[in-house]
Amino acid sequence: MGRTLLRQFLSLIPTFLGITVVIFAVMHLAPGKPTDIVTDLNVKVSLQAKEQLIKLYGLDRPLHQQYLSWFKRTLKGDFGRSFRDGRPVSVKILERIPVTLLINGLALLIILGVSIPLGVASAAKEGSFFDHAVTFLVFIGYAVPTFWIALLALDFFGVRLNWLPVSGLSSLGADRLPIWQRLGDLSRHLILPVGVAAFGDLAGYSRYVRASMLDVLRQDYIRTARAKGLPEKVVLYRHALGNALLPLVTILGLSIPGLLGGSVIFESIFALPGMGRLFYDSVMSRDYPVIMGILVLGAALTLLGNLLADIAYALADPRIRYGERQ
Amino acid sequence: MNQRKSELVFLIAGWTLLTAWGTALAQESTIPSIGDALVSGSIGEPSTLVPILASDSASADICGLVFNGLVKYDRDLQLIGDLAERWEVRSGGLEILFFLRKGVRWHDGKPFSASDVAFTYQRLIDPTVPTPYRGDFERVSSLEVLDDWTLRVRYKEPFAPALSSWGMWIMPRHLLENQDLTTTSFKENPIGTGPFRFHRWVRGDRIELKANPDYFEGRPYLDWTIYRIIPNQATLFLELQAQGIDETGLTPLQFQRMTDTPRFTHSFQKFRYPSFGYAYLGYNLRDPKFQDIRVRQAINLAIDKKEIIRGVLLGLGEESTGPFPKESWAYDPSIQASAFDPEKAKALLFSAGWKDTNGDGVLDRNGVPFEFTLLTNQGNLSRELAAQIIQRRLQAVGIQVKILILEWSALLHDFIDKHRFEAILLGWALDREPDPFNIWHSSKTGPGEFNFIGYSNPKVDRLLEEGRRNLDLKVRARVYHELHRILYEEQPVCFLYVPEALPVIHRRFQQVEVSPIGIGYNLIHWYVPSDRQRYRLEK
Repeated sequence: MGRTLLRQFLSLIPTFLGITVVIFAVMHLAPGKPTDIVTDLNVKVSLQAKEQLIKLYGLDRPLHQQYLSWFKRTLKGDFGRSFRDGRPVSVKILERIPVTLLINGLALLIILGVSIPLGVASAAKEGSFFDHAVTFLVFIGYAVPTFWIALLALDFFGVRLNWLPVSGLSSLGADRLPIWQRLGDLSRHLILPVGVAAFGDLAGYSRYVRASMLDVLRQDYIRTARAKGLPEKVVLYRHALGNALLPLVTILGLSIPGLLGGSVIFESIFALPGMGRLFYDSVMSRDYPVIMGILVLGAALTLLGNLLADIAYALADPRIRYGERQ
Repeated sequence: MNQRKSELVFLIAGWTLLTAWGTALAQESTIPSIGDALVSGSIGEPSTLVPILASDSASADICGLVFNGLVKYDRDLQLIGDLAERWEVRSGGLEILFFLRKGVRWHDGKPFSASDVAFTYQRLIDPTVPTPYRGDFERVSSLEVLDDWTLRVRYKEPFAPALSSWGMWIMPRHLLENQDLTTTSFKENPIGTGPFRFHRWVRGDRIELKANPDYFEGRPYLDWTIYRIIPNQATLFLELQAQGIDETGLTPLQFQRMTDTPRFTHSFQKFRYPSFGYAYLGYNLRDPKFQDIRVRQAINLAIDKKEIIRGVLLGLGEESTGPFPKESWAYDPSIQASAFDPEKAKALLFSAGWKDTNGDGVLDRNGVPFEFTLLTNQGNLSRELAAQIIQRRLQAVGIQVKILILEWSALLHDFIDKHRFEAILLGWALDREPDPFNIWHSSKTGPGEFNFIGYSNPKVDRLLEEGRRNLDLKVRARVYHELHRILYEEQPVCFLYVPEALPVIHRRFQQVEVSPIGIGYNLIHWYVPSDRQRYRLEK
């Protein structure tokens, strides 16, 4: 198994290199330069000053040279400094990760906690009114744009009822409160973003659980379990669910990059300082080092997530063990 | 000049004066109380708080409260001393002598002196410092520190915008002497001389500034100003209604249609005044169609600017007649916008040889129909709508317009810089110093320069040179009035409208008033009566 894993891991390296080359090329093909945000239609900037800026950032060198010097630095773990504010890219990314991870992690927990029982119950009562009602509801969540639900929720809970704060993660002066009050303040700020984020993704997970549950429920061993006279609860949760969750492992593996990815629209609406906004801002200001840093991180996580899903799959399902080919 | 402002500004000023007077009477006995915080909502996050590198408006907003220049503009757009107590212009503008204010201290307690100014200047002209503000300072031939509070700046030739360029924020030498300005920790922890001290920056969330008790013009009444970064226009507005922020700017739609509820007017006061900028329809003057002045004048007559202001800005704007803001001394108020007159436009086009010979509704000349593509940038709703109104009005006089909306960078680099356009719909943001040399002078037509429409008029060139060489404000005003008149007559661009700034501020703040320079110039005098204060943040 070890050797197969190693081989799989090594096969990721050329893929990863390919990704960085493509990203670098596409980024530089897009019109505009990082200096634009300072110099564009700014009457005070002379032409010489503009050229000087381009030179300072090394943007006058041939593209392959820029790529190679970027690549060498990245190998040493140095993502460089942002063109926009001169801060190290790694610091900029690290300070944004906790917020995105917190929200997406909490949302994922809620999604799993709600969609697994929903999926199981829907499958158990396939075709019933309950099944249709759940299907209808989760598809509303899936179909309606998140930003719209978010704005409605903000207007209702934040402005009209004034129960919850509208945006941000802490109230003014919250840092001067004792720790438990600060946690309370944080949770009040988290309710809407986490709730809205979870609502939109319920459909996918609960549908997956329902579908694979239905598959499993048609298997012979379930019929055997029922024939033995086991209570329906035991049949569903002890015998069927374990096997039905296998496909979910793959989806979870694929959702790892999403945990850190963050969504621009979502983070902008709730004014959360997360990864999505960092990425969007850096794209808009053509902040190459930050864009490269985030995309490389995303690519690495995606590839790693795939690998992890493969491993987890092998561990969970004896039929797909590595290195045991007949 | 200042007596002859537009009626609108008069009305606003008069009305503000009345309300200010009214509140002053009502609270005659109350002394302004200290305390409370002003929470502003801002779409963008500052990039750096090193003043000479700050180029975005969010960075500039913060730097404006933390730092001072040698000079500043007062409420009526006149230059007055800031860190400089006074100055003398000598040798016909070749030399400026600055006498600095004594006893000013940096926020860390160290004294401010002329060497800080010299240091800031050296950094401005240092080619390794990526500052966008070098242009104005490259004209300085020498800067001498005569003593701790006296400076002599010499220029290679007289340069009228010189004085206003010294509004550049001054940086502390003792903290930045051997630092790389792009990476120094100063950019997220600035020390200035201004009315507010930098306190804390929570990335992506907010910046907190605390009153400077030793400010040389007196301590601000407010304890704090806090900038909350809320990158979404809709959320900003919801947060305002939930009173999570006290101050922000409204869109015309919000101003006219969404803020007249009793609940909103009870808590907030809306303001409107002309912004420093204008939108225009620019022609590529290298294109033979647009080289005929009659054609350009006809297009000006065929477009109903009032209609654009009604439809696009919901009435919150004014017609533009030239390159200067209405509040500026450079603006000639006697220049009247020509009335909307499609018949006269048609006659002018006819005299220029454009007529509809084949009866298809589109004018033609020598078999070529009169049609052009109008480019504008994506993401600016007002411009997209204005383009559509222009399209319909020009169609009515027989000119076929196609609209193409492009991403900002693509528009700028692939079309404007390469002069590959027929007409554009864009805007200019204006400085307090009116010198428009870079936009209209015939030497500024290279790639990446600002006269991209390719305007060239020897008389205008001469006026522009004179306007920046002469330091006498009366002479400059005369020069710029003439320039204004020529530009309106020649119509190198069709001046469209000046949008209004639409700030909204919580009613508990007193002393808020609109002046020609806008709002907030007297922030250190704003206060909240003690029984209405909202935030009691410990210091």
